[in-house]
Amino acid sequence: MFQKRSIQTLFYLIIALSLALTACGPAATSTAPPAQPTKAPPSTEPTATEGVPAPSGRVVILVSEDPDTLNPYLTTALLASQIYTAVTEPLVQPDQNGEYQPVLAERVPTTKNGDVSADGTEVTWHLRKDVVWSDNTPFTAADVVFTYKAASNADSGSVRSSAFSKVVSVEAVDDYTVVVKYSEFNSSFLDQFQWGILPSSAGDPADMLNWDFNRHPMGTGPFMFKEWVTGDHLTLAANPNYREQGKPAIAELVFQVVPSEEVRVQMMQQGDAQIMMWPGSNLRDVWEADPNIQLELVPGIYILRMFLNLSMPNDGDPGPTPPHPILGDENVRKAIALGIDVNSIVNDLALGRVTRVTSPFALGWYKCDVPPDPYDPETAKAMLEKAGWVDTNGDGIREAHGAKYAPDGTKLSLSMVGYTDFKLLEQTELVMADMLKEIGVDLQVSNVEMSVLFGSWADKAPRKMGDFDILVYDTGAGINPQTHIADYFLSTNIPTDANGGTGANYTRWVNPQADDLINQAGRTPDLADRKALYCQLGQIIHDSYSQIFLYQFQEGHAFSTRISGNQVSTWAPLTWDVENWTLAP
Amino acid sequence: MGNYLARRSLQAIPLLIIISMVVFALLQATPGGPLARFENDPTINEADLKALRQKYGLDDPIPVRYLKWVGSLVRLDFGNSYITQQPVLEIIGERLPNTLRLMATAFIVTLLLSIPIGIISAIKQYSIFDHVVTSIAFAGQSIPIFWFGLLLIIVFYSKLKSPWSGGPLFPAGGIYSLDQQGNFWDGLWHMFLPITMLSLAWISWYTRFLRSSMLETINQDYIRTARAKGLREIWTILKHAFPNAVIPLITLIALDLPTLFAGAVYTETIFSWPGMGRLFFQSAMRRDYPVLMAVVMITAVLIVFSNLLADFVYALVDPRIRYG
Repeated sequence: MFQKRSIQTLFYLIIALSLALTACGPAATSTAPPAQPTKAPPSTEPTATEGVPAPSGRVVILVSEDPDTLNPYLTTALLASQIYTAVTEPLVQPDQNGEYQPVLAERVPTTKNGDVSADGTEVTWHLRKDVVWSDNTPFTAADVVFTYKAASNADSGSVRSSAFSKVVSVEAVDDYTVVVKYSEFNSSFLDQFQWGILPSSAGDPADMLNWDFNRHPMGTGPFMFKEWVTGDHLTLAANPNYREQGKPAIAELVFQVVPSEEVRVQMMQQGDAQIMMWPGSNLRDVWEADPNIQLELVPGIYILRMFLNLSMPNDGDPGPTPPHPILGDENVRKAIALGIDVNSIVNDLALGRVTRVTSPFALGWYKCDVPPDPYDPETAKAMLEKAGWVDTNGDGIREAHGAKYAPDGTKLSLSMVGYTDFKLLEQTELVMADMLKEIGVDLQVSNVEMSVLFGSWADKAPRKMGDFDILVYDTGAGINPQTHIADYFLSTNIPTDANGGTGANYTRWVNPQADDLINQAGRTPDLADRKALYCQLGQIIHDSYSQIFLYQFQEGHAFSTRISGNQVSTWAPLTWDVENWTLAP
Repeated sequence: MGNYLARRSLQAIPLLIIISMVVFALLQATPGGPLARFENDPTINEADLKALRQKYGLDDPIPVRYLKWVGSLVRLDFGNSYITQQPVLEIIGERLPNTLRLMATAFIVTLLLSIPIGIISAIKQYSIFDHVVTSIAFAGQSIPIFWFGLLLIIVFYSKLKSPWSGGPLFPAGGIYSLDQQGNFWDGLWHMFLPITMLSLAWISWYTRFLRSSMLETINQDYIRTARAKGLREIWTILKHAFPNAVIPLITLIALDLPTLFAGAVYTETIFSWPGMGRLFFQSAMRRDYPVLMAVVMITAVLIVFSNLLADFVYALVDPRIRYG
């Protein structure tokens, strides 16, 4: 009988299916500790209600995704650094004011205390003698040498190898003294080991990609690795061998992966989490309405700016010549700057949540005072008229009539490209287009995905090839601005065929005086002398209008008011001072 | 039959090869790349990038990279993730049990609920029950699923409290509470909301499908014959109508089987569930080609073979269908 058979088959199929599927449940949990059956659903807030007797408690930090690795030399991801900083420590580190403080070193090397040679090519590091790794083995000079070997070797997979390109040798003089020799002065010698010191027990320095350390790190910091359930949470536990008695005060740091921002907000409001990293600025009203949550912000290093292409786009030549038909003329560039009301953008559009910036030297020890341009559309119009840009056909957009480079009849129309999914950037672009329309400049805004805008030379990305009119995005310098400044402003760093597309001088700006100042700053060990050079350079950069500086973002995190003793820093990840945090019950 | 199966399986091989070539080429054609995340990083320069490109073989022409990928695939090696450096199979192995647990449970709940509901709606066509079910089914098909998920969280996590612990009635997401890793009951508690979200949409489709399939069956001549010879209505439905109405469901189930592997991006994102859907989405955003290729290819294989399975099971249960 067919029908009977079909029922039977179906029946067996369903049984087999349910068996196979129910088998998945226990299988998935089999590696976990033995289950304790509970009648009532357990609470998700163990410290407060269930009363797990952990006097120092647990801080839950909400993150949107997993870190890629916990090895500082394999990633540049900001997220990873927020986590590994609690485990892996550097020799010295800038505090919240941008002043260097010793961490694993006994003191900060300077020319004054004799740890830096007069020409800056030899730096002696004196290490603390009371430091042990979390497995209680002593921290010594051998670990610093090991870190150098692993980090400087590009074949090891290190993404930081070029930071060590000027290093000739790193030698342990004794167990607690390391001498670093440079082929030439390295302006970031204090940051040489800013990503932290790795334990020499981690593995073969040439085979870093395959280290077990990368997902189970060991360090000297206040916390040590406990467990990592991919996509779910990553737990760090207080390091019992941490050098400072009575610290850290918190027993566990849990980085919980919650991809949905809405859900992260709910968890903060319910008290199930204590820190939400980098909440969007759209959430500020939420925090202001909640007495148990506090937003702690500091100025960030990222500065939003316009990059004006000084060279002809789409001519197959990424070099600085021939000049851009419109933007090649300095007067047009200045008129554009005068035609944008940056103060209004800062105060009315961004509601004062950003700070106006006039040069790349906007923060920290190298902050320079470069006066802002006034908003002056009348002068801007006059400058454009004088530069040969007149609206004769009455369509509101100027055309070239005797302009410096553009053939007569060329419309004063420019395209501006930013990246998508960033509301404030998009709004800023549209407001600027409106403002420039007032002075007869047509600005066409078209944004692209971030990975397209920041594409590589090999991808023939427009930014690298010089095929754009105006770009707008945010970038910035760290505690040592030298590399960033050289990348973006040195004339030899214009990406061309000759240099294989290296460098970030995307505006194709050439200024011999600026080149001199940049190179001189790169040879100056004394920070005060260097700052004077930077400030001179800052004015020249501003007056060139190759980049038009807009504003600087604020960065920070939302904290439960139960947390105290913490200090958000522009110069370091969230957990840089985690040993000082305390958690109220 | 065996002959037929062998032929169909062999035919699948060139199909899968073409799929792999198209997907590989499409992935490489998307702008950006696995190293794009370093491009705007002020702390990393061109020399570092160059070394990395070489390390990952990104400078090779696309056909060469494809052949290398196929070469290691033949040895069942999907390579290592560009982002985390873990072997791809290890990464999938971490996520797959989570996805299977969630999706399979939701699937069983769907079948257990939608079969009786669909059949009753058909038998009691145009009754109040049928109207209510139909309305809910249409609502379930039209509600944006992420919105429904957020609504569940706001109501069952933020607003409603548990009478036992005073904490939230249901958790906001995750597989287990932090202190209850591996606890079966805690896991069940965490599955409740995501399964509700997943099954609503599924049940909506399945009940509609079963209802129309059952309606078609109960109007057949042999059902009338069964009734005419005096068989009680309940037996007519259970013995004669039900088995035949359910047969077309096999196709639907077989076509949904690959989803059990691929996961559900929205549900996993809203409920912080570390499953395959989120892995795929995250890998796509990070342009992690080895992981992407592996997930796409395994899904493709599953789709091809579950179609084959559907045909095979169909022939087993329905003697009218023969393959030769």
